[in-house]
Amino acid sequence: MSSLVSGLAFLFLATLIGFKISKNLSERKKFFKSLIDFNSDLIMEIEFQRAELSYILLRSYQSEDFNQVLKQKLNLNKGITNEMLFPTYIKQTECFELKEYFYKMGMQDPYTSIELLKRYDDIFKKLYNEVLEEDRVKGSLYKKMGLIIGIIAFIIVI
Amino acid sequence: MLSFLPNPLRDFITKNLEYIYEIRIRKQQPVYVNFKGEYKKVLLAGRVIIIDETQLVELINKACEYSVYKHNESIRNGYLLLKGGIRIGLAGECVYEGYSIKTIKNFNSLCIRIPHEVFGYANKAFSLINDNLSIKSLLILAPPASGKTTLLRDLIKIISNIKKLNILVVDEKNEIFYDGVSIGETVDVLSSSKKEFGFYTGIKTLAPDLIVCDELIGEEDAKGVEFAVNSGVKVIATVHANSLNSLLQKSYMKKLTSDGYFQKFILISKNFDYEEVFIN
Repeated sequence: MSSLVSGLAFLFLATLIGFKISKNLSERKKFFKSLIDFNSDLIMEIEFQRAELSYILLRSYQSEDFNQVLKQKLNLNKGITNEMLFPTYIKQTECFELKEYFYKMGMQDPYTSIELLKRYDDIFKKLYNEVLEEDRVKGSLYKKMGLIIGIIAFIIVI
Repeated sequence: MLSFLPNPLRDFITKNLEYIYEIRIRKQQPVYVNFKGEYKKVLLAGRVIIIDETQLVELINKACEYSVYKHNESIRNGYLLLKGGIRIGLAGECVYEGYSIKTIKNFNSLCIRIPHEVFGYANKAFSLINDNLSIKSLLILAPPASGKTTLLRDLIKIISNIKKLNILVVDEKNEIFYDGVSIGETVDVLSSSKKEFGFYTGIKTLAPDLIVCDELIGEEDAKGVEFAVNSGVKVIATVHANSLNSLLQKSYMKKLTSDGYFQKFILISKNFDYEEVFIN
């Protein structure tokens, strides 16, 4: 009986890990999509409306993690925090790029700003395509592997 | 109001705000302030305050609330206007598109003007121009940073309160009236408006008894004054000049001074005092 329970626990755990890793990929996808959408909105605002950055940062996007990043930028500008932190699924090189992006935001005249943001648009789209590819290849793979490992562990334990 | 300034400069300015009219910040140079009419180096514990490039950039960003792009229209005119009427004059690298300035960037020095309301400052000026039925047109001569806008502000309120004239203020640089400052009951303000629009359209649409504007510069401004006076509207205006001689050297002022468009003239000296002067 106890080995059955242990086996089921392993099965559940392995499947959960597989789903978690797969979910991280999905969240990465949403994060970068939100980043691209935000960057487009920012370009449009600077080109036409010229709303203050603090208003633009209050907008909501598909990724809740991304919305939290916008709140951090708002707090950074207000002097409430000193640093920006990104979700754990953002790689170190991507963090560096994002920190530069958010640090420079709003600091230039409109012409320089738009030029800079359009360059970032290319960078973010490239990153997003890489994330899409990663999700396509590895997304369902991690779920299946988690399940298979869980089943193997279950069989071994019982 | 001064949260964009770095500490310890901010604390110093806040403590002495009543006496400080201007702050001069230059990259890698000591900070100066106009303290009771005199320019003095700021010393804290015997040491000068020097603002480096990073601090200057951060100062501008904070002043613009991290939306420098939003302020480009005023930046290309050489200044930033903040809440509370604080005006920051900018020096930096001018970027041209053809013959017109597209923007200014890489700022290297700032002239921060702190507005003050001085109640009663214009009493003497008012008694000079007060007429039975109306007031006389007045030209205020003053060098930069001598208090002419402060005088104008107080004079407008006195005229509004006592004479109840319809006053149109053409506030081109949004310096005369700003957030939080008291305004008279009979005052209309055209802010960020070129004087041309204020004089010609303002007279047609707002039917003022008096038009007030700051800093007459050039023939177009002078023509606006002529149009107003010829339309039966009184004018109070200022001009940059530190004496009658320097006023008369401005070609666009010759007709206005010789043909009686202004009936009274006041000269403000560097220590904010002023007196009536007479054109021969």
